[in-house]
Amino acid sequence: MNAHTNCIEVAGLSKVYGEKPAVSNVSFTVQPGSMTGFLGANGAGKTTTMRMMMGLLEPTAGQVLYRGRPMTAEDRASFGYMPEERGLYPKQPILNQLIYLGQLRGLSAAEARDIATGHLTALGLGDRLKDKLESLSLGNQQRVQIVASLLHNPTALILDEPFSGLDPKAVDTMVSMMHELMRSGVPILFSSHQLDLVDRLCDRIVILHEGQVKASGSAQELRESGAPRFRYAAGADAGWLREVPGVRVLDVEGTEALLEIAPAADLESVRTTILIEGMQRQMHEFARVLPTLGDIYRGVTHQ
Amino acid sequence: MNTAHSTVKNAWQIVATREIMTKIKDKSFIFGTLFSLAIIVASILISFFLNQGTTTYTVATTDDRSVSMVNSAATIQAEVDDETEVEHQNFASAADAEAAVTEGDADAYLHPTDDGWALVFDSSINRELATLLEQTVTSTVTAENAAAQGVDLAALSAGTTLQSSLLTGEDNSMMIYFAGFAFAMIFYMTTMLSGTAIANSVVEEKQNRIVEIIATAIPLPQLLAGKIVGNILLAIGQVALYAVAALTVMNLTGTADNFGWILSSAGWFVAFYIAGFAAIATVWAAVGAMSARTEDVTSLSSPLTFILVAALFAGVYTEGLILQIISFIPIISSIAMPVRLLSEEVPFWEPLLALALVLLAAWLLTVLGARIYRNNIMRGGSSVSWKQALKR
Repeated sequence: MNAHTNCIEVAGLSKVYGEKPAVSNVSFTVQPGSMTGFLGANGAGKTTTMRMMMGLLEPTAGQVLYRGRPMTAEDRASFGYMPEERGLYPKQPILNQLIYLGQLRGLSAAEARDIATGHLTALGLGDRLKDKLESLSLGNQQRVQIVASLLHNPTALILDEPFSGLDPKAVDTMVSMMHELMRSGVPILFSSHQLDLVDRLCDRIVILHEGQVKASGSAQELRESGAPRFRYAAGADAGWLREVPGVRVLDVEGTEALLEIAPAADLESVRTTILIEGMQRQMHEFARVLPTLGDIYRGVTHQ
Repeated sequence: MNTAHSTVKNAWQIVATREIMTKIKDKSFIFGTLFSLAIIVASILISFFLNQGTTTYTVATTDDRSVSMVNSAATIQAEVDDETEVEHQNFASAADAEAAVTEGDADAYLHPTDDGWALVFDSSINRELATLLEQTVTSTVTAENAAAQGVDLAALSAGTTLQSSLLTGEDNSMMIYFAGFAFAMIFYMTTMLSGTAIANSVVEEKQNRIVEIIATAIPLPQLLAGKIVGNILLAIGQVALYAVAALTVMNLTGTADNFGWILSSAGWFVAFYIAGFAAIATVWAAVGAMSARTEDVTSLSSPLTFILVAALFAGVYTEGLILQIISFIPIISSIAMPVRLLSEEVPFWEPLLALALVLLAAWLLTVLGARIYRNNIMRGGSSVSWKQALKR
């Protein structure tokens, strides 16, 4: 199977409720074999976008492509999807409802039983197969939900806030399950507002703000985009940096500073100036600082 | 690992199977079914005891004349019908006989007095037994007196017999009432309970968002169809269970012959019951889709409850022309028409027409209900009113 054919492409999706646009002209791609983080505050339009991708909501405009053609119901049936406000049947035994969901995905009852039992056991729920969902802790309920989205060996994963409410151990288990799928070439999109988690896990990031894509690309691309930042430390006061043309000082504390070189300025000549001047002030550090995802996120959402 | 990456064919069958398997383990479903069963069995038993039971009167006696008097009464009674029997029980003394009456071992104590006969009851006089013995005493003593006077009693009493007869046959009005009441209660109870169960199962899926997972796997109409079909099959199963229970009780009480007249209208009732329930099943699903939480179902289902209560009361309490008219109104006809069929001669085409009208209504209501379901099942936020739901 050619990995590139499994690409999911969101092309100009918009959703308008009455007068109010919830999502405007959103475009991004989810590459096969990679994990794409979908970042945004509450109400940014992440869930609306994902629901449109899963065919649960009719887009006002735009479309979703899979393997280069419009996504069909059959495609979606092969995906794994985890809705935002999750919950299966609270009053039913967990194994029973997973078998049912497996059957709806085309598995036989026996296959679904085997697969669900295997996953549940791997997640430490092997002795609770007959328990009702509502008798499980929230973290364990979420594990069941994860199994529901993985039962049929999905060709893509679209997960809305899969990590919210999970303890670190559960996050690790879930991540390793996702990695396994990812290695087999499955595109994965998950939404979150936990920046550190996205930073740790994702190869690609899409930042949504007020219904619009503010940034998208690989984590590396995003970090290197924008004005380059440097950390400066020397033996003498660092205040002089404010006077250097093309330099924007973000923070000064005695002999240390964090600065940004404006995109308009000539990076090399500004750097040379700082190096020469700095050496005379016992400079012992002048290093490029890549922005954290938090910096990028705040940068694009505070416009 | 096995994978199946195409949409499932006939997903509605999987949904219907789950619906049935879940329901037959559900407490309120089991309770509702048992309740209806109890009503049916009780109705048959009550009408059996009211109209069909054989009553045996035991009359306490202390002398031979009384014994032969009671035997005569038994003979006279046997000519009238075989549902009441009279027998005697002999006691050594009047005190023993009276004690038997007081303790309920005997119904009355019959004995001759100086100037006639006495019949002693415990706390209330049983009219039937008293009348019977009165007649027997009168005719027997008159015959004795006539013989003593040398009068030909046959000549004396010639032409005095009064033969009463019924124009329309046996009076079944109580049984008709009970059978009609049972039909009405079964329809009302099961449509309310099953309907509420459909609405609850829809809102449960909506509230927990599991419908989003299901909708990505199978088309929504398949989910809805599976639910409706599953619940209709359950309703058919229930009514079959009721029929078996009813027939069994009739056989056990040996009254199957007496209930034969109910069977044809019971057959019609089954048809109307299923069609009537099918007509509103999808509307119950729509109520579930309009609700945001289980608590909303009660208020949003009030139009349905109103129709069902109307059907219940109209079927039980109306008669004549009004009953005739409403027996053609879909859903209400599910009670009214079987009740009419119980109590009067109805031309064959009338129930057929009424049934056709229910099926037409079922089709229209299913289209409407499915539309409301589709429009609202994915909605977040608060519940949707009927006004909003019908507008869109």
